[in-house]
Amino acid sequence: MIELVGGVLILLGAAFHFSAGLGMLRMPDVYTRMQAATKASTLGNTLVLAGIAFFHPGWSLKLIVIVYFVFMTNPVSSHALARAAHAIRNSMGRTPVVDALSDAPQDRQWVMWRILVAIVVASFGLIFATVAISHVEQQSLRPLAESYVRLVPEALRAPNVVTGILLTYRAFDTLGEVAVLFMVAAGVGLVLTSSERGNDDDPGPGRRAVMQSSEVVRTGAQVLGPLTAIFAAYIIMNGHLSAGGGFQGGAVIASGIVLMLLASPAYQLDLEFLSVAESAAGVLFVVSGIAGLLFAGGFLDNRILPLGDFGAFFSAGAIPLLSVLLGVKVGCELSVILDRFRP
Amino acid sequence: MNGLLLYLLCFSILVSGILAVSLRNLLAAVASAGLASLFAAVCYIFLGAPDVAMTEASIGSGLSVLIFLYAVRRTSAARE
Repeated sequence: MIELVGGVLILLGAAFHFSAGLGMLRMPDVYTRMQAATKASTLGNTLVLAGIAFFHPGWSLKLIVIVYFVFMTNPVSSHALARAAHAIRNSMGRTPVVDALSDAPQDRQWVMWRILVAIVVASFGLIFATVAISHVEQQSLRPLAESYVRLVPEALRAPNVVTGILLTYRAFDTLGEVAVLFMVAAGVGLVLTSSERGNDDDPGPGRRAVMQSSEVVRTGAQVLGPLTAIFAAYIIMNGHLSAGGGFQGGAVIASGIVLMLLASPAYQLDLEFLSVAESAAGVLFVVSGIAGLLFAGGFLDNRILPLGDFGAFFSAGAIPLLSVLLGVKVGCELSVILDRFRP
Repeated sequence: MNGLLLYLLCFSILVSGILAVSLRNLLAAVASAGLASLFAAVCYIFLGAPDVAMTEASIGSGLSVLIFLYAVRRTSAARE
């Protein structure tokens, strides 16, 4: 019986989704299409999730959270899209009966909006407060954590357990994260370069005046820049021994570049070199992973190099090597992203 | 003592976060967002995660602040 109710709900939701798709195809202009898609698909999603809750009562809480996020994001995003369409004067299919945004008297909406924001913030606060109050500090490690804490110093001879996990047991995830970062850099480049590069070649007289930083900043950068570089190198090279590693070191490299760009805003980064270094680091990372596949236990197993003594600088297999590659890659990617945003 | 300092830091994160949202001056708002993440970085150090603190400090209060500043400059130049 209960499964029948759930099935009917899912079917009803599917019907609403179908009507959303139909509306997308049949409606005359962007606003009505948006309305059809948003309203019907929000209701459809809710019904499908409610139906699933009948099949799996244990998932109810998660499903409620999903419904909450659908309710929060779906109307908001389509509202923003519709507003943007209106702002760029996207024409309506027929002459509108009423155009609420034409000379929007917004005072009343503004109050409503504030109340809504206050309610949302308060409910989030309530959720976080319940989580924080019910939090009890664990007295012992969970079994997985305990095995890692035991295994990393023993099998990898790396005192820093976090780096050991990041570059051995979860090295594939690290590779994925770096790939995500790479895609972000590529996307930023794609979006921000095409139209903007044209007027960069010809900085007007007003722009030149802006391109000069103060004496204090320049002197500070001269003192702090080399220190930042050394610190980054230290973090990367000692990732297997002390806190830090490739990611952190790469971020510190990029913040050194931030300092440099603040001190001399007209400086041009060598983007070609950065992208070549970034790609080379990525390729070498994967190559060392394949070497692990051939000569050791599996992909990205870093026991391809001698493990050395516990706590020595040259130890822990290929972890320092991978750290360096990761640091170069992350530093180059973040610097390229930064350069794309420069005015 | 340590706990009190931690609460103070958390309160500072909250205050600078609220300032970042509510300030009308965009430069001040960006600076206050950077301040929030700097406080968070100090919090991480107190909670025993120096590596996370490094990343938070350099990305949260370094890189992203600069990107916001560039964006503010670009958009305000476009508006003029």
